[in-house]
Amino acid sequence: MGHAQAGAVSRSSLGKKRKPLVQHIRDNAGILFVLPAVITFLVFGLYTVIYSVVLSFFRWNGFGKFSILPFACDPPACQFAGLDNFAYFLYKEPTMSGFFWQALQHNLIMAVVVTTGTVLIALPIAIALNRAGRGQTTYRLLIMLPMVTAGIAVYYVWSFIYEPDGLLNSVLKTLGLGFMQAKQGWLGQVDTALPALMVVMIWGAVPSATILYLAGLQTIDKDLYEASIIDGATPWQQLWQITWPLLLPVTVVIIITSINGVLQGYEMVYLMTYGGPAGHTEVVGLQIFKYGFGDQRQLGMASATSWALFVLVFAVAVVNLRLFRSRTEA
Amino acid sequence: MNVPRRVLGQLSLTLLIPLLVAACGAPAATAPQATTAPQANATAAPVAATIAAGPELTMWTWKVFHVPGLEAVAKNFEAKEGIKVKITAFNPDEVYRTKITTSAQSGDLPDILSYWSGGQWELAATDQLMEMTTDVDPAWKANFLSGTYEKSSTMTQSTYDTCQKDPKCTYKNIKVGQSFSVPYLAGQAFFVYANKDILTKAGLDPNKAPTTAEEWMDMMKTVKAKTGTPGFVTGEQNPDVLHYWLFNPMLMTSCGVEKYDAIYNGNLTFTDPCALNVFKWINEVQTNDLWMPNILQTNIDPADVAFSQGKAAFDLGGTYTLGFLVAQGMKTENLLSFAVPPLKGSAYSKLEVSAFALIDAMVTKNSKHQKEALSFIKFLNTPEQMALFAKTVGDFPAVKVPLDANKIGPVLLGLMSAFSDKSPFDTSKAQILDEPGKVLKLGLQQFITKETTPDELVKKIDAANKAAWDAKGGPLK
Repeated sequence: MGHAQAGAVSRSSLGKKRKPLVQHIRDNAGILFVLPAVITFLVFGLYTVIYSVVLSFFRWNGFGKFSILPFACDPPACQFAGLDNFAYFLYKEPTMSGFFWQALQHNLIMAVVVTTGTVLIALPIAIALNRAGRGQTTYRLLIMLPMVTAGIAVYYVWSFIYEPDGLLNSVLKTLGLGFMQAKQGWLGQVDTALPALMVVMIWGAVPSATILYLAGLQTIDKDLYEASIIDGATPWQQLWQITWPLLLPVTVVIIITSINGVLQGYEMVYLMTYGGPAGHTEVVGLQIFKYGFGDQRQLGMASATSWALFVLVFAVAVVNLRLFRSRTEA
Repeated sequence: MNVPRRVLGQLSLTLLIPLLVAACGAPAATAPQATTAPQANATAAPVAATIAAGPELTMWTWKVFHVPGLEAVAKNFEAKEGIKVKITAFNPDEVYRTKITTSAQSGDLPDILSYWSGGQWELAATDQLMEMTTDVDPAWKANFLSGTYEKSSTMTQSTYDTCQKDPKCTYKNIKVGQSFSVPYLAGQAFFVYANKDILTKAGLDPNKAPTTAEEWMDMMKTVKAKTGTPGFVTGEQNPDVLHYWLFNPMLMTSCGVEKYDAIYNGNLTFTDPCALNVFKWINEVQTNDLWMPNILQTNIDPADVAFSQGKAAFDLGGTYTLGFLVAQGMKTENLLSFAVPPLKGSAYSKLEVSAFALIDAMVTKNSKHQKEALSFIKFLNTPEQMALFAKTVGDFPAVKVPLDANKIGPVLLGLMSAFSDKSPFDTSKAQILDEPGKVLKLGLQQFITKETTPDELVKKIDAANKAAWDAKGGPLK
């Protein structure tokens, strides 16, 4: 910028009247409105995320000093571990990595089965509710009950149902299906524990999925169905050619939230089986909890495992979004 | 952008209110640290009251049922010294650990902490605890049961050596002989309780304890055959239970202390017949279908509850189990107790059981009243107060108390009399490493799920043990 121009700018600035403070605040009111949320995010969101990333490269038992602002890591309670935490649970320590891969396998099985089961059950229920004339509100209320019941109470009730002398075995015996009983309890047998947990998960996930589908169904133009009837479409064809494609965005949301929930959640497993019997319902979230809050408090290991899980959840979400976006766009 | 004054006013309030709250909150949060008030979490009224009457100490524990016992001692201490002690319990274990971790970070630990014996080193290493090495004088030391204070409250050469070799050890700065805590609760697992009513129904002598593991197995089989009641229950959902409460005592008697140490320390293998036979015996409990149904989903307390309800003939537990069973309504005269019996042909014909320290008390570095806190712990450790604690809570003190039913109650008296001064575990230098320990624990559970056999399991444990010791520079000599 030449001197002449600079002089012009300077003169023009001098010529302008200074804005009063109130006017400044008025002009920037939007920023002020979002500031509390931004500060909250920076302190409780971003800071903790960065803290967790850094912690995953250290061994720290929670005592002694470890901080990132300013950086401090006082040995011997805190030690730099580099990539060791990741290496240990991924491959380096056979026992630890064996537990991790087994838990991840359970997570993936749960993600596929629970998500599929939720969609397959919620969609027909939503369609039925959408067509129900009288009593629709009552049905909706009933379907919402699992959503509003406290999780811990539900898990304990299900645990009682699954016990060796619990409701499920009693019903089977009464129906003359005693051979199907799980003598060690449905949560106590290797072959039934994981499926039993998944049933509870689906039971808990169906109501919210149903509500989402119901909302989606009510946005579909009824003219489409009327036109298809004139064209001779069967109800099955209506479902596949109209309902399902138009509900695809809702299905994407259900699938992504379900997979995220199943991959990250552990509280149900913690309360109902604690990963047993003999590790057959162990999930990664529960392992992270045990590393972080168990008797050894390996907080660095817990962070490292959390980030491995995050990468997995993120990748699955991206793949899902891409896959379904291409279909919905098509 | 034109924003109405009303909105501006609301915005200002939105921003101001949190600031006002923070500003008003700050002095309240920091005041106790700035004054002579003992703890940040003490309320204003008690603080004002205690300034006149002397300091109020705070003590934390995770054992809710210990609170009445500790309070009874605290009441006597207040009468004697004029110092109040406020006992607070946080449970379960995970919550207590998290509470301590976060409080250590914010400098809000209480004056006195209860902590798992042997676990205090990580707190001491990070300068959270007051050193007590010179405070615990010979007279104080003489009160402790053999195998408690000197083994887990003092840094031993063996623990020190193992820590120095282990790159993950977090208390390398603690020196041999240093002490930061004293035990107040002791006890031991390895005790089996039998329901005499069930034994009688099965036609067995209800007063005759088995002398060998084989006899015990036969008794369980008889009970199952004659009454249909399962033989055995214990908290198997917790993987430590089968390992520490059943496998280890059987391994000790079967192999003897030298071999026991050599096997765990990587100098011998678990394929040794003395170890393999123990695995085989535990596996046979499953092959004979003697476990209570749903055993792998049964934790320690539910196992004891099931036993008290007559759902199994034998319950494996420890000294601490008896009080719980009585609290569940079991009559002591309906109970037969015995130490885990050895296999036939074992190195020892009987398992000598001595007490181990279970819970230690310690003074925190951030306490403003370290002298008074130490004084309370010393008072707690006197035989009279420990007897009061034991009688109140029905748990086993770490101090020699008078063997008098009036002072400690009839329940504990029987158990205390069963203890001996010497146990092979007192002299054992075995180091059970994490990785092989996990393989062993899981393997014992996999006997029940029929996923492994004793022969397969010993190979897996040996491989894990070798790898773990190799990572530490070779077996422990």
